[in-house]
Amino acid sequence: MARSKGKKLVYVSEGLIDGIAKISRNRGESVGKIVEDSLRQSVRVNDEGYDVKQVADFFSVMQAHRVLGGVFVPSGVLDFLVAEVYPHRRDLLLDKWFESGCWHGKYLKEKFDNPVKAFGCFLELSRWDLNEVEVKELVGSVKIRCVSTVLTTEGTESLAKFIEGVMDGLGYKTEHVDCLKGMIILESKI
Amino acid sequence: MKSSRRKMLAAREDLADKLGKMASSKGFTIFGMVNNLLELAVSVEAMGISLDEAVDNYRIIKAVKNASFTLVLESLLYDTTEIAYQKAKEKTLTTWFDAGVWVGRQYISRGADDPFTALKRDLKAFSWNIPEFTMEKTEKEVSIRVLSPRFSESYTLLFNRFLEGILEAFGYGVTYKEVGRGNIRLEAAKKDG
Repeated sequence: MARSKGKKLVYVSEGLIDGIAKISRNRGESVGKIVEDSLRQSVRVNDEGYDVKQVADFFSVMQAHRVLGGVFVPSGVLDFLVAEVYPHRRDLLLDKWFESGCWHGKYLKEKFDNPVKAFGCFLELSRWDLNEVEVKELVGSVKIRCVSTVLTTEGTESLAKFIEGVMDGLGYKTEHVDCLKGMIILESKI
Repeated sequence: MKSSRRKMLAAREDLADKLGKMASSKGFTIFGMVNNLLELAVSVEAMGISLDEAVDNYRIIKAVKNASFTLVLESLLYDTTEIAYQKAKEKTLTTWFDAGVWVGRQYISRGADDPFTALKRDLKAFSWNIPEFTMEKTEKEVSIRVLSPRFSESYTLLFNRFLEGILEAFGYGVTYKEVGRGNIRLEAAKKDG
């Protein structure tokens, strides 16, 4: 780090400068100001005890939910609705979860360089009813394991269908699903 | 593979010093730290917002999580609501009202200076499926307006009960109510005592 009047020079990878230059053109501000603003915000985020990467990941996940028709509802209401409706319209609900999963899969494939990894992040950050999420990418296949101590049987089956839909949207075929109350183990192959 | 060539850019001295401390506490080099942070800032900016806005969003979602809200598909929510409402109208209405009371009390019990404003801010922020949602509060009165063409008739009635539950939790009684498909207007006044 080199030093000048009240300023220090920091090294930035040349590859990043293009991205910063684009922001600079869009905002009509200098590259130096963009860099300083970004670093200032990052330091503030860190000082407040947040992790910059987690904040960025979280925002991209929420953005995907917003685009794909996700809405918030009180958990108690959702549990009640599912318990009321599931016994009579199970197939309809599961079809809807699968269909929505397909959309999510196609969206992730379109938006992320590594959509499988992005999906793992998506589950971890937005399904706060899950205690454990494991997404393993193997050669030509993906293994997913989700564990929850609060998910109902209906909720577990719905999530499994959603995951199957996502994998379908990503171009995988589900080979095997183990679905017990609060636990899903799923294997998909290309 | 990313370019390994480097350019030098000027940053405010105090900022650069803080970044140096951050880097050493996390086991990064300053170059690695600065580049990671800038890469993230660029990726956030590419989504059309600033890092500051992303942090605000993150805070709100954390509050929503603490208030026991969960994400669900909008179409699925409306369909399920419709079926449940037709099947057990009173029970469904009561569940939504109770959920409103629960959420309201949860915000009150957090000990914030102004729990109503906190709830209003969070509700508005995550109700992205509602194009117009206003909650105005004076010392003794509250006025709520909701407009959403996507709401079904039954969902409107249930969402109205949810809002009434919130008002109940904050000690307000409804004095005027207008509820039609996708349209809710509520006026409420502080209950005596």
